[in-house]
Order: sequence, then structure tokens, then C-alpha cells
Amino acid sequence: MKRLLIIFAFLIICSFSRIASAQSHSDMVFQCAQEAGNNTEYLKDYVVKLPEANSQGIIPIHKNTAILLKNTHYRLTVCNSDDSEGQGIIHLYNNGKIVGSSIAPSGKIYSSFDFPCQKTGSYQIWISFKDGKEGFAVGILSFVNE
Amino acid sequence: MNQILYIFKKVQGFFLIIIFLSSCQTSVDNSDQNENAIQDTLISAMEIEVSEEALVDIVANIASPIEMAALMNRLGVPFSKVYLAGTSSVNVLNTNFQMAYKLGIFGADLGYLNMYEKASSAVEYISTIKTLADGLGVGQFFDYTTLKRLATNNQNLDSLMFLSVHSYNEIDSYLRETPNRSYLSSLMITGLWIEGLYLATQVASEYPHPDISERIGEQKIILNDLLNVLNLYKENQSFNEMIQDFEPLNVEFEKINITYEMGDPEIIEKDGMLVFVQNEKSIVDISEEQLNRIIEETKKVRNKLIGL
Repeated sequence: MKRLLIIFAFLIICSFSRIASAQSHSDMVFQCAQEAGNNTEYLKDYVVKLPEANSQGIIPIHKNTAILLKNTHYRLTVCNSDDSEGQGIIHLYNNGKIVGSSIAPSGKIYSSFDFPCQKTGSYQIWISFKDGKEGFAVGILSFVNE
Repeated sequence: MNQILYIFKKVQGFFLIIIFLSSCQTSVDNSDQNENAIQDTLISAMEIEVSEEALVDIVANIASPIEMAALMNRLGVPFSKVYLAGTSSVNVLNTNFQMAYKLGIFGADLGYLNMYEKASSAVEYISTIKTLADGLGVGQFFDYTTLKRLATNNQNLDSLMFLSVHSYNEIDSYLRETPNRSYLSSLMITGLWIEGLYLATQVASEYPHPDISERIGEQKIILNDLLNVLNLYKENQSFNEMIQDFEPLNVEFEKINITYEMGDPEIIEKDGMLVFVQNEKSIVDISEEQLNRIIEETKKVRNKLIGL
């Protein structure tokens, strides 16, 4: 009976912690969607938690695919968790070519970048952390409501 | 004491009747759930061996009724409730298969209502979606109370839009990641896509505009991906029938020519923003006749799905 109670309590704690974690992720997503700008509409989110680069220097990358539509002005935003060691970086690829990034040619890292799409198709959204550090961030795909 | 025993016996009898009735009810519900669970397993077993990653790649963001509705709104197309699917079909007995694609259809309608800030009309759709989500066992991802409050009070419409889209993303992720249930995600996406296309085609027939025609024409790319997903389950009769229903529409889309102009991207740092200008373009060549046939075929498929 005692063992049964312990298992029951464990299950309740597990389910509550899962709900709390999901809630916390949803809050992060909501805040990041707001940071994308007042005139934007949220489309997708990517909650990304990555370990640091391995001993060979291979940086972990979170990869996603999205279909983007011509004549839509997209904004890609990345928000770092308060306890994230690494700084999140977001890249956009189409057919293996980079078509957008939150790193400017000057090396400055932006929290978001705009991509007025001119070609409908499948795009790859990659999120990683600067210098291959361990990190926790949320990426948001939204569009600017013009 | 005898009186107390008499009352206890009466009350006991009452509770026994309640327990009996509720157990009958439960057995009916369980029977429905069991049938749906068997359906889940059978359909999933038919899935062609495809890696989870590949499936995710195919279905991720395949449908975007929000962008479609935003385009209509931007072009000044007036709102019309006539385009929307009636919610009464949800009241009849639905299988998991039907509930999943209807969840998509009503999701697209909710997106359209939200984009036009028709919060009071959205309440009915929010309730319908809740019924379907509960039926599919994903009601926990649909924050019905908050959504209904936001819509009823006609306040904080940005949050209403965010929460609606986010709930659908959560449902989609959960279904895709749960064994034996990824087929439901495919159906939900199918419903979202066909309703988004239906709204666009209805607008195109009433308020023709080249941007809307082009947006419809470029759905050729998406339909191709969508049919690839549906074909994974073609051994199932319901899926096979759905694929057959989509075939005439696919035939019309196949006639549309999409060409590409090449160009290198340019990077602009302006007003504290980083902008990537894409100089590669897709060009959709769609004639009025082709558009009219797509309008007709879309209507047939969509109306069959909602039982019209």
C-alpha cells in the first residue's frame, strides 16, 4: 500500500513538472513572439536546447523546415533564456544556400532579421549557439502584417 | 434506527442505478474510444517506412491559412461569413479520421476570423474546435477557457491570434511525436490546407486579383508535398478515398507552370534591423481558365469533407 502511494505521488509530481515545463516554454514563446514586434503575426516556434560543441568542435544545430510564401515579409527572431550560456543564432537556407541570418556581415549578432520572401518553397531554419556553447533559446517565425 | 436504515437502502438503490447508468455510458464511450484506438494502430501500421525526421520535414508548416487570410485582408477584400464551414457537422458521430481533418478545417476558419478581428463570431468556432480536440484526446493543448474569454470580451485580439495558432502548433507537434497518431497530424494539416485554399478561391471568384491568383497557383508546390504525406497511408480505405478526391484538383494544379529567376541575396542594415533582400524569384503562370477549374475542384473536395 505504501509503495503504491509512493508511485502515485511520483506520477503526480512528474505530471505537474511536465505541465510546469510546458507552461514555462509557452511563456517564453509568447514573450519572444511579442519581442518580434507589434506588427507581426506569430506562425511557428522552435524551442531549442543544445549541448556544447563536442571535442571535435562540431557545433550542434537545431534544424527545421518551413514553407515560405512569395510576397510575404517574414521575420525570424531568436530569444535566449536567462540561464542560457550561449547566444542563439538563427540562419535561413534555401536549396543549400544561405538566404538569411541573424549575424550581419560585420559580425554583429541581431535578435532578429527580416526576409521579404520572393520565392515560394521549402526553407530550412537552423538554430545554433555562438562558439558552440551550451544554450537554451526560442526561435520564432512570424510575418510582418503590412 | 430503522428509519435511517430505510433511507440508506433507498439512497443505496439510487446510487446503484446511477452507477449502472454511468457504467453503461462509459462502456459506450469506451467502445468508441477502442474503435478509434484500433483505427489509430491499423492506419499507423500501414505507414510506409519513413523516418520521423522526413515526415516532420514534409508536414512542417505545410499549410498557412493565416498568411492566406492576411493577404486577403491586405488587399482590402471584405470579410464574408458565407465562406466559412458550418459547425453543425461536428454534432454527428465522427471517427478520429473525420475529427482530425475537421479540426484543420475549423482551424483555418478561426484563423480567417481572427485576421479580420471577428472575435464574437470566433466563439462558436472555438467551442467546435474544443469538441474536436477533446474527441481526439488533445484538448489539453487547446486553452479553451482563455480563448473563449478573449473572444467573448473582444479584447487583446493579438493574444487571441497568438493562442489560436500556438494551440494548433502544440496539437500538431504532439500528434506527430506520438506513436500511432502521426496520421492524425497529416489529416489536420490537410484540413487546414484545403480550407485555406477554399477561402482563397472563393475570394478569387468574387474579387479577382493577380496576387490572389498567384497565391492559389503556388499551392501546387504544397499540394505535391501534401499528397506525398497522404500516400503514406494509401492502403487505408479512408485515406485512399481522400487521395482519389484530391486527384482532379491535383490534375489541374499540374497544368500550372512555375518558373524561377535566379539572383544573389543582398543584405541591408537599416534602422537597427537586418534585412535580407531575396533576388531569386518564383513566377506563377496561371490562366483564368485554369483558375476557374481550380476554384471548382477545390469547392468539390472541401464540400465533400464537410458533408455538403
